[in-house]
Amino acid sequence: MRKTRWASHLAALVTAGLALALFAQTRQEMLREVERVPIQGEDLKVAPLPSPDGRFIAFTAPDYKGLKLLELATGKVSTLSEAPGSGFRAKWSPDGSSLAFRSSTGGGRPLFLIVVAHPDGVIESASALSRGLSLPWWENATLRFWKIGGERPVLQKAGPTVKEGAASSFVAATPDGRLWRGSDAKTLQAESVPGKVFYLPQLSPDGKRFVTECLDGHLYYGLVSGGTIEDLGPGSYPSFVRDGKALLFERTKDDGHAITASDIFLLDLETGTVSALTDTPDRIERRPAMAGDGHAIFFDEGGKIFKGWLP
Amino acid sequence: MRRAPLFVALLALALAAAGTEPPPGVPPGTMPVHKSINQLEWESHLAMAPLEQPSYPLTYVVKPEAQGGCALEVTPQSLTKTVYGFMPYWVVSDLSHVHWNLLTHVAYFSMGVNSDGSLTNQSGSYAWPSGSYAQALIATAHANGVKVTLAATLFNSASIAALLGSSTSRQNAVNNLLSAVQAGGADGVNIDFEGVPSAQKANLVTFMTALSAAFHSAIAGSHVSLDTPAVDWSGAFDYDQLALNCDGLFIMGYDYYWSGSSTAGPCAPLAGSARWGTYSVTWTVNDYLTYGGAANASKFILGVPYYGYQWPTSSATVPSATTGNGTSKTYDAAGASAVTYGRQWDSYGSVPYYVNSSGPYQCFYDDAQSLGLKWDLVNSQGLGGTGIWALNYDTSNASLWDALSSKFQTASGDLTGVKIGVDPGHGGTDSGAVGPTGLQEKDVNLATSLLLRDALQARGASVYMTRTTDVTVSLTARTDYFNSIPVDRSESCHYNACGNCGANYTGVHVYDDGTNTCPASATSKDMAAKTALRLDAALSIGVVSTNCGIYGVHGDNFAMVRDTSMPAMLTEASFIDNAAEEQLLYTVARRCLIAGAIAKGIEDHYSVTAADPPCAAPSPGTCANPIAISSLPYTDSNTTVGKQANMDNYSCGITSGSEAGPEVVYQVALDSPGTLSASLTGTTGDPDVYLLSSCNPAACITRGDSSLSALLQPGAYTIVVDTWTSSTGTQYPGQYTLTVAFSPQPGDTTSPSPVQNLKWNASLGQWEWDAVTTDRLGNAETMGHYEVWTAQNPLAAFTCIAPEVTSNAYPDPSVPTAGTCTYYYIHAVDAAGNRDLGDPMIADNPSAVFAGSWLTGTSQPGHYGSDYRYVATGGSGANTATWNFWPRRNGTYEVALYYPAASNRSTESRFTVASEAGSQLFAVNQQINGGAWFPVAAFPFASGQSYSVVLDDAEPAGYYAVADAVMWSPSADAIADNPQASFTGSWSTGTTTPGHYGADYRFISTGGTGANTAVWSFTPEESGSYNIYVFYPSGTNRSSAARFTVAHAGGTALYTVNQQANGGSWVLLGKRWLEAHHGYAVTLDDAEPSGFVVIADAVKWEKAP
Repeated sequence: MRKTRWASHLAALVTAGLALALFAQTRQEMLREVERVPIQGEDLKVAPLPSPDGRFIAFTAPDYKGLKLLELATGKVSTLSEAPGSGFRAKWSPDGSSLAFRSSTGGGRPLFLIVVAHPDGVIESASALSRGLSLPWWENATLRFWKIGGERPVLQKAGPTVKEGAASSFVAATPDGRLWRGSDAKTLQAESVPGKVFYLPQLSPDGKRFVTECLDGHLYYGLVSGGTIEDLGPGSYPSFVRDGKALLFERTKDDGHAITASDIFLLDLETGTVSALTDTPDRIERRPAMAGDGHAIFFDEGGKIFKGWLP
Repeated sequence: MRRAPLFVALLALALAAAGTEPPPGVPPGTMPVHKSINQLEWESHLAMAPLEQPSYPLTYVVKPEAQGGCALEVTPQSLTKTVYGFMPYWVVSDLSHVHWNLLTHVAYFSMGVNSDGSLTNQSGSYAWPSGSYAQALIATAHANGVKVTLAATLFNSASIAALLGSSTSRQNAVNNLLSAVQAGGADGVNIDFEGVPSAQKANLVTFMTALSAAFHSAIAGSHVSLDTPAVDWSGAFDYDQLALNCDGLFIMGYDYYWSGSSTAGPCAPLAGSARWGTYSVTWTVNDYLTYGGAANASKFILGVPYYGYQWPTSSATVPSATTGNGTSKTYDAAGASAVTYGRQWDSYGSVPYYVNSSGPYQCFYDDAQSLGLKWDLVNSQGLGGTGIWALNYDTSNASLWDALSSKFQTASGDLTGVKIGVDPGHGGTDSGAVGPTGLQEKDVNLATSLLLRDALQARGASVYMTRTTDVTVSLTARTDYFNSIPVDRSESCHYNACGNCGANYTGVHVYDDGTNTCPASATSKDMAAKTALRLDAALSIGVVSTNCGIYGVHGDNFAMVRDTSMPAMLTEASFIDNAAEEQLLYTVARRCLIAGAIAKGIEDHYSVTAADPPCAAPSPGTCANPIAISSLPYTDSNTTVGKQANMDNYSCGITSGSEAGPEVVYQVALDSPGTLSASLTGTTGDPDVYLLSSCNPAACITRGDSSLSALLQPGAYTIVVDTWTSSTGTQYPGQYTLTVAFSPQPGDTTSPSPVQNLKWNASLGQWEWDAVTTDRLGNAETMGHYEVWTAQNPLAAFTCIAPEVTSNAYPDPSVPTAGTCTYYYIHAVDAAGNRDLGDPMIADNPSAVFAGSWLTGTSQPGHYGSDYRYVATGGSGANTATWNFWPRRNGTYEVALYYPAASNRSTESRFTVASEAGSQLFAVNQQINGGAWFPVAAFPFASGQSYSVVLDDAEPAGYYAVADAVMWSPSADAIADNPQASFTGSWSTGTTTPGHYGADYRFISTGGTGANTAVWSFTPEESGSYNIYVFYPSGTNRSSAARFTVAHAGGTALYTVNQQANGGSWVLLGKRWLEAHHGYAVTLDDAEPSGFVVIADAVKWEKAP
């Protein structure tokens, strides 16, 4: 039984070598009552993304092609998109009314489109087809994304035309790995950290802080207004949870060809405590996301979606 | 000008020539009046239009305020022809699958035209141009530089006649259509009038001429086209006049066999055939060129079907009469059904089809292959382009787009605008594989990747790398970095290894989820396939082609091809742990050759003219790039002039002077022993020829001024044609013709007959036996020596006490010794080293052990020896007959039974055969095959062990089970079950999955280092070629690439086996040469990609004829 197997790993937690550079404390706080989320279809499902209101789970395929929506109450699965890349890091709006994602036309020199989907079935494009579009994010109820203008990211106003927009805070990483942060998207300057290639930075819900991923496999954390960029240690697929007071992320291991291990961690940004939520050497838990209630964690393992509860 | 009477005459001739029913699907003597697919589907979707709200799945619906507001970010068009796609309103809601860069025009289908020239619009979201779907179509097409036209339909002959026959109505239609198109900011109109009466022929020309004039006047660059039939049955279409007065004629090149056809057949046969009749796409094109004028070819747009028809048929055989109307199936639906029922190819019509025997149903449709042939026709006949009925009928399947691109998209000259992710595999703390002398894969990956980056950047691509130095980067970071940008394509650069097994080949990997369905995108596969071809051409070391069915491409669950959101591949260009390859990989030249090949593969994928990379590729004819001698005999006329001069001081070289001049290096592989000869003719400059065991002067075997010859064992060898340098340093290169020949000399590969008449000569105190003069096949034998083996117990293993007895006598002062009993066995070994297999062992019923009441019989002929025993069937199994066997040698024996057959015998007599594979029950029909040895099967046996064959009485009652004789015949083959294998590591034992050999099997998880191994060993008694097989129970959790390393006379070879399939049978690995009395092994390891298990069960070496 799945629950039993997860519980059996409680006593086997090993944290050696996993301490964060900044937050040294790590403790065992295993997910409880882990169970598979039943979703129709034999296709592999990854990257669960629960809606803030708890009604839906968005998910995709291993290669992020397409985006589907599971209505938890009915088990109904709807296809939001079948386009390449549309399942990569989709974002629910804070009120759960919309799901934004970047979609691709495919082909040799693909164009991209920011799409906003509503669970009731209405789907809209929020941008013109373009090259160099970033992934979208939400600033409260406002959809944000940027595109490359010259060498710099230019914040866009959501809509069918290409227009510069404004935001109260902004963080971006251009493909060259440079980080851009500040409150005025038009004047901010690139920051280069020798040897670091940053990608996929995310703003905290209050827009004051950010966390970013890096090719060195670590997570980095800092203030949008400037200052030191802190090394949080190994991690990937981070998300701000609990009103930005914590970070949920994964740590993977690989043999150069395949992911051989992955577990889920929760970092309390106020206390610096890291909780290992899973420690299952025979399972590869990946791409965690917290439900809107702040207690349930969804993740994928072996092409299936699971749900567990924080202690 | 088209002349109807001539057409009728030609039609009559064509029908007479075909000798079949008139037009496909049309009853003899009637004119075809069938509806086109356009009309049928339009009618079938009439009820759909009122929908106001979109339903799932929908994407890319542009908000209403988007109209006209999209900034143009036009994809550069590189199409050589018009590509005109119809977008029916019933599939317009999802634009995500459209490859806009492969379209020139998209026609929104449709606006109805009435007999008075007024228009009937779609409603709600589908309305032109106010509906959100229409707006999205217009905005997205324009954003991609694609012209939008409005299709105008009228499918009623009377209404068409009324419209075309009235100048007022015609003008109304012109005015209304122009207004509608202008309201949408669109670019033209397409007229689809079907059922045009022949009397309206001139009026149709008049109408189209007026329509074109109005549009061209009002909308600059506008496009006016008319849909025209594949066969103009009514003579209503004046092709040449219509072509002159329109921008295009959309030839509806489909519906040759249609919904109402009496025979199921191709919707669009490529050419006429005896099976499908005269009318075909080729016939249609010729008809248009004849009557529309070759000068107007550029106006002809050949419409092709993205659909097919499925008919209920009277039989599953093709062709077959239909038993009802056909149902149209989109390409997407037909392709999916073809996967279920099996795609077949109709060579008469050059189209795919499938047959669903439960029904039965037959469906003919078009796919990338058949459409590609039609598009070839467009190009070869110089037509203006092609058209698609209908867009979105292929949904997300990109194969038709890829085919379209391959036929009509020009090379854009370079890769400008393309973003490519290049990932040097491993790095930092992860060295990857390591070569025999310590070359680390991570370093070669990086070096190759940097060269690849330079090559791609030189062609204009933007390249993003996961590392440019020796640092550790997780796979998660690599994939998500590429996903974040996102790059358009990704390539992960690796080299392969097999634990120094000696293998060396190329493999390009794409995503497979473990199901072996290879679900990677068609785009990924295309890139991988083209890269594999380039690598194969550059390296000539062979490729691995496994579960994707594509040459050189292998599906695997690697993170770099699974977790990436763009088309991705992972190259394993060669084996770094192959000693020779490792030496090559030390060189920039080899790395550049590989980087260049990968770059060219990507360039091929992008239809960009491939160019050599900016680094220098190794010259052919060097150690880095030897000229491969792929078949023998071989001849090459060449020169050393201008070649590299790297080889000198051969270990078997000339005693004076030097060979420091330029040389040409060849490589040849031998699969069997034999004499290799090489000779030089037509020489200038005095070249010499050298034979080396590797590309190293110190590994010289022999040389010759103009020829050489050597008897060689299987393996790879190097031949060098080298020229000399004078004492003053002057080089003397020259021309030559090298001829290489090979004479297989397998020698004696048959073992001698067993020794006979062993007897003790008391007077001389020696054992004597008849000299062996023949082999086991009765041919004259050249003997080498004899071996004397003894045992104190016939059940024990024999020991060789005299291995080299050169005569047929052996003095043994210790024999006989009173009170002891020693068993002797003499082996014969011929001059080639083959050892006799021994005599068959026969156990007749007198030597069998019987339990229970068995009767003795003699009356039934066909028994072995003087009698036989029998028992009534229907017992409990307690009545048994047991024949025992003590083999004197390890090896395989074929077990056979002898019995007199009769009608009162059991048809399933229960014989249980014990061997090293355990006990296996066989049911034998003793009513037949009597009076001769009836073979059961071959089994492994071990010297020193006791085995049996047991017959019992537990068969169904009413018959007799007959116990007569059993024979165990030695075989040159060998079977080794897992109990005979040696295991390193923690292998579990399994019995649950059926289809295993013997009593059980062993298994271990994959993803290891290769240190955990299962080893089956075999020492053949005879030299020769052996087919080597493995046996395993298959299952979905098995590795799709179980690694079996086979030792043979020429070295080792790695074979990968998909253990998810073909279980319960002997699966051939390959044929290899083995030498008698040499030990060989087959080794299975655990170094496959993780997530599966590998099964260690049984191995068989079978002597090849």
